[in-house]
This record gives sequence, structure tokens and C-alpha cells, in this order.
Amino acid sequence: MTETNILPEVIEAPVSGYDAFSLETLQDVHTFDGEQREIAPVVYMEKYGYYAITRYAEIQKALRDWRTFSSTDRPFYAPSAFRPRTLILEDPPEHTASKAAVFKVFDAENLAKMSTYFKAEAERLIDNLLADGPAEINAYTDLSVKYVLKVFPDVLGLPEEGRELLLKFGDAVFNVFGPPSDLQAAKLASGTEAMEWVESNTARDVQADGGIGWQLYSMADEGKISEHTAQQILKSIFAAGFDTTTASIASMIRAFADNPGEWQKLRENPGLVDNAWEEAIRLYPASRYGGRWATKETVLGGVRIPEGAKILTMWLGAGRDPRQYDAPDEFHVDRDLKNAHLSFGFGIHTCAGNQVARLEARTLLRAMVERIEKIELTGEPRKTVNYQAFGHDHVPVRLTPAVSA
Amino acid sequence: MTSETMLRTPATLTRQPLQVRSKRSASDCVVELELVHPDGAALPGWQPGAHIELHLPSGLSRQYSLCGNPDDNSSYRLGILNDPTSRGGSSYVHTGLAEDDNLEVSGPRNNFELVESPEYHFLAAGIGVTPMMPMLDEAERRGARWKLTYMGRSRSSMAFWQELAAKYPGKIDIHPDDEFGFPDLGALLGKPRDGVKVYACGPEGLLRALEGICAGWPAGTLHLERFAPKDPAAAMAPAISFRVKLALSGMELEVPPGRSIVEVAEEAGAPVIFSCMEGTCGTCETRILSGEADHRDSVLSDEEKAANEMMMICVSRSKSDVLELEL
Ligand code: HEM
Ligand code: FES
Repeated sequence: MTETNILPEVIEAPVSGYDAFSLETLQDVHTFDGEQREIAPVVYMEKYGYYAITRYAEIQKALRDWRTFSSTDRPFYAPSAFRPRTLILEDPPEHTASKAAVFKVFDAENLAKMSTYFKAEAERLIDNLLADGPAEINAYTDLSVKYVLKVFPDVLGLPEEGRELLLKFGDAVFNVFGPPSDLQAAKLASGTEAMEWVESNTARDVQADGGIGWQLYSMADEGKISEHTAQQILKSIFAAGFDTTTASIASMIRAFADNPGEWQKLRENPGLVDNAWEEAIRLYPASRYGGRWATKETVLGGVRIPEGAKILTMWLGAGRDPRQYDAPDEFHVDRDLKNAHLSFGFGIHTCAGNQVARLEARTLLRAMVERIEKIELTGEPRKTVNYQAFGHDHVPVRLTPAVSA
Repeated sequence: MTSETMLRTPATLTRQPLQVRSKRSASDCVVELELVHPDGAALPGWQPGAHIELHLPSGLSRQYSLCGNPDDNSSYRLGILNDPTSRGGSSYVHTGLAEDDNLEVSGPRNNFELVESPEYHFLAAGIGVTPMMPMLDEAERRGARWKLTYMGRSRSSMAFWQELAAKYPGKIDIHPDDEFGFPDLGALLGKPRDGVKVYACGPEGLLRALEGICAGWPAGTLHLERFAPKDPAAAMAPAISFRVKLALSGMELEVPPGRSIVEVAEEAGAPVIFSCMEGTCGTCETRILSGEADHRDSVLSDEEKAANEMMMICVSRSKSDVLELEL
């Protein structure tokens, strides 16, 4: 190692005994990831031999610098049928072509068509739930899952039969990048049940004319991407596009149930719907971390990262970085987020489905704000236990309808 | 707070779906929209200077001035500039939106009221003419002395000028840059005096110039409508074009005013990716090889902007005639 271009303030990453993947950690990731964040912007996780970037500013910086922080390898990476390399494990120029293709199928025109449909379904769903007055439900299964598994697969042109497998598939996808364990084995086994359904529904010949899959395969015909890439992109959409949104929406409802004053604020000013959703996913990001590797030795936040280091970008903790947000554990629908959080990642790997996810969630929230006067907890919410995903699978609430004119 | 209050929330805060009754071209870069209630119900009232907010399917919201007749509560009339730097915004209205489509709308709201005055001088540039149109009618109704100076790139780009010239002969001064060059604003306004209100709407450059000139006028003379700050690209509506060299693709392209680098490059087949088109997500960050960027994003710090190494090509432009990018 040469010393020439390294400033004296540069430190080695503090060595941490933290196990980000132990069952104890997974019960309360906000607390434990938050503790690491307060140690240093970059820590070395001795148990696995990986580096972790823990703070907002440093994660954002790393995600912008894809030349230094490459996506082509990452902690715990091994080839997996759940996590195709396309997009998530690509760097430019390959990544650019795949990403342009996936953004193309979520362009303004396609989103416009989705919008009208999402709204009608969101309103119908809430109206049905509240048809007999106040309703006691599990906001995860009875609202979030019901809505997401209706609207997005419809848009993709998927059969009714077997849709719930998408959640199992997603659950496996978000446990691939972590150490072998009983938890991982169980998640992967359950995901395997979904694999056949996913394979057959991403095949070229089942895609409805004009649908999202058909548009991707058409791009392959035009030579913009390969046919294999088209299928892998479609699979990535299946993998990343369902339990992320169902988890986020359930978590958002929990945030409102915990903070009745914020619901009232939103009812008084529905113009805050969009911001309220961003605030909810800042507080409860559906994805806990990402992964990169250092193509050369570098210094981030004053901490040296050696060439070849494998790195976790811990954006769940960064969502509550007090350097970035005042009172970061609090939920405020009118918080000034200054346009930014890292819950959809940042830079060239910014979530490919961010506009769809936003459209789904905002549309549902708007329909709720217009129709629901009160959201109250009726029991203890339960968080999911996952390596990479964060969410709630049980949010018991009573919804009280607004008295209409 | 109860649902009672919710029900009484003023119409300006709630959104309602309105239907596009007609959409037609009003110049080579402006479309005119007429929005109605799908059931034909009356729309909330408004005063000259008001705007509404369109909530587009992409999740973006954009504000547009009302340019119709406030006494007619059956429809709202808008003039919308095709500004591809706000992709998903105006470009959606231009290319994605069709007659009979529904759009979520909130408002009207008014930050640009026409105060009483015996005399008005209205100055509009480009799409800035829209809030002025109902003001002219109102000034006329009040029996005030008034004139409108309407500036723009060329007559073909300027919306509604024939309509205005025919309605108010002698009071409308049409000023296309390609015929007369950029006007001498000081000479147009004349000597500082009492009893005149100056109303202006247009790109930031024009508004700044007017602020400078009107500093010597009685306080309260100048009333400005800035384009919504949410749409920084429109706020600084670029008045100049530049060339962009794409080093990796081996192309050199012209980026005209009102179009973004991303859009021009994508159209030419260069490999670009983008998501927010607002300069917030970092997806389109690109390395600068030569030339000087005109940064308009909210990702880069001031130091990074000054360093001139990287830029967000969805909203940022060029200060130099040619900008070379690693693209
Ligand atoms: C609230 C819901 C969602 C959240 C919180 C979320 C979060 C994320 C994050 C943090 C990344 C960055 C990964 C990285 O940089 O390593 C990402 C990437 C991605 N997301 Fe999402 N996502 C959501 C919904 C969706 C949906 C609905 C889709 C599909 C329609 C989707 C498809 C993807 C894909 C394909 C990528 C890979 C992009 C790339 O590597 O360039 N996501 N997502
Ligand atoms: S596309 Fe988001 S910053 Fe340019």
C-alpha cells in the first residue's frame, strides 16, 4: 500500500462484531443497524469479512460512483435462479441497455393507462371494505396484498390463479443475499414452489399482445436487448415488484395507526398524500440494504475501503440518520424530505419500478384519505423476519369510514 | 377534526377528475386544453391570475395558469408549453393525453391577483401570456388604461397572439425576437411614475431584468408570476440552444431551448437512462469531458457543481456553446 494519496485523517474501518443476519438482529433491524450507523460511516463486519456503509451521505455518494462501487459482485453473491444477474448485478454499458428497456415499459404513456385502472380498483376495494361501516382488518392481507395482487398482475396480464406465489417468490429473492441459515433455507424452499409458475408466466408465448412482457420481447425483436435479457427483466419485475410494495403499504398504514394526528393532518390537507408516502418509506424502507464491491482502493467518509472489498449499503438505517433528518424516528406527513431518501436506492440502480410503486401507493392512499376518518390499532403489529426485506405481515386495524354528505 | 370539516374543505385543496373536452395546437410548441367536469357540473370559480394543478399519471404535479373566461364556470382553458425538460409533465400532456381522457386536478389557487389601478402594463414572454389573458379582460372591464407587450421566439411559437390582436387592436404589442430582437425593457416601461402597475410573467431572466428596472419605481409597482418552483427547468426557461458532443456514441447534437439533453440524446439513439426527470434521483448522472455545465439539479453540492465534473442531464444545460459528455 502506498501512502501518497491518502490523507492523514483517513482511518481504517472500525472492526465490528455485528452480525447483521442473526435472528436477534432481524427482530429489530432499525435499532441494530442504527447502532452501527452511529459507530462510523463505514464499518468492517469481521464475522463475514464485509464492509458496511451506514450513513445517508456516504451511501448516496457510493451509489453515485458506480465506477468505484461496482454492482457486478456483492456480499454473499452466488449464482441464483431467484436473482438473475440482469440489472441488479450489471454495470454500464450492459446495465444501461437493460435499464433503458425496463424504464421504457414504465414510461408516461403506460403509467397513464395504469393510473386510471389503479384508481378505480383502489376506490372499489375501500368502498367494499367499508360497506357495512367500521371494519376490523389486517391491513397487510386484507388491504395491501389484496390491492397489489389485483392491480399490478392485471396490468402485467398474469392469470388470477397462483398470484399469491409472487409473494413467496419475492420472499425468497430478498433472502438470497445473506449467509446460509435455517431461515434462508426455509425461505428458498418456499420460493421454489413459485419458481415453475414464474418461469411459465415469463415465457414469451404467454404474453398478451401489447402487455408489459410483450413490449419487452418486442424490444428484443428490435435488437435493443437480447431475448434472454427480456425474460430476465420480466423475472426481475416479478421478483422485485410485489412484496416490496405490499410491505411498504402495510408499513405505511401502521405508521398512520401509530400516529392518529398525522392521519388527521393528511385528511385536512390531502395535498400531502405524495409526501406522506415518501415519509412512510423513509421510516420503513422495504429493502434493508444493497451490495457493491470496490473496484479500487478508495476513501469514503474518511474511512479507507480496500480494493476488492465487498460492501453492504445499509439504507434502512440511513433513512433514520440524524445527520440527514431531524427527529428521524418520528413520522410526519409534512416533513420536508428535500426531495430525497434512499429507500428506492440512488443513482443508476435507482429502483426500476419506483414510478409504478409510487403510483400504486399514492393512488391507494388518496382513496383512503377520502374515505376513512380514523385508523386505529386493534392489536400488536408484527414485523416480518427477513435478511434483505423489511415489512409487516400483520397490522390489525379498525378503519372508520368518513360520514359522507 | 371530523369528516364534517373534510367535507367543507375548500375545493381548492381537493382533487377532482376533470375531462379533456378539447385539445388543439395553439402554436408550434403550445397546446390548448379545455377541461370540463365529466358530469357537466359547474367548476369552482376563480379570478384572473389563478392557476390549477394537474396531477399527472406519472405522479408529477404541474401548475398551469387559467387563460379562459372566469365568468364561464363550465370549463377551464389552459395553454401548455411543450417543455421536454419536464418530461412526464408537459410532454405527457402533449403526447400522451387525448380528448375525453380524465385528469386529476386541484385548485384553482391565485398567487397573482390583479390589484386595482388606473393603468396597467402587462409584459408576457412565451407561455407567460396565459395568466395575462383574463387580466386583459378584467382591466378592460374596470375601464383602466392598459397595454400588453407580448414577447417570444417567433410568431409561430407564440400562442394566442392572433386572438389577442383581433380582440384588442392597438393595445397588443407583439414582439417576436426573430423579427425585432430582444426589446429594450427600460425604454418600453418609460420613466418611473405613479399610478401604474406592471404585471409580468415569463422566464427568470426577464423577471430579473424587470426587477432591476423597477427598483427605481414606486414600491408595489411590479407584480411577477414565477413559474412553479417545482419545475426548475421551466422557471429558468432556457433561452439559448447549445451543442452536445457524445464522445462514446460519436454524435454531436443540437439541444434547442425547451428540450433536455436526455431527450435529444435518447431520440438520437444514444444510451441514456433517466427516471425522475427532475434532477433528484441521480439516475442520469453523466461525466463532463469539456465545456461548462449549467447545473439545475438538486443532487450535486455547490462544490460539485463548481468542479464541473459530473452533471444531471435531465435538467442541467450548458453555459458553453459546446458541451462534451462521456456518453
Ligand atoms: C415500494 C416498493 C419498492 C421499493 C422500496 C424498492 C426498492 C428498490 C431498491 C432500494 C433498489 C436498488 C437496488 C440497488 O441499488 O442495489 C431497487 C431496484 C430495483 N427495483 Fe425496486 N423497489 C420497489 C418496487 C419495485 C417495483 C414495483 C418494481 C417492478 C415493477 C421494482 C423493480 C426493481 C428492479 C428491476 C430493480 C433493479 C434496478 C437496477 O439494478 O438497475 N421495484 N428497488
Ligand atoms: S433522471 Fe433523476 S436526476 Fe436525472
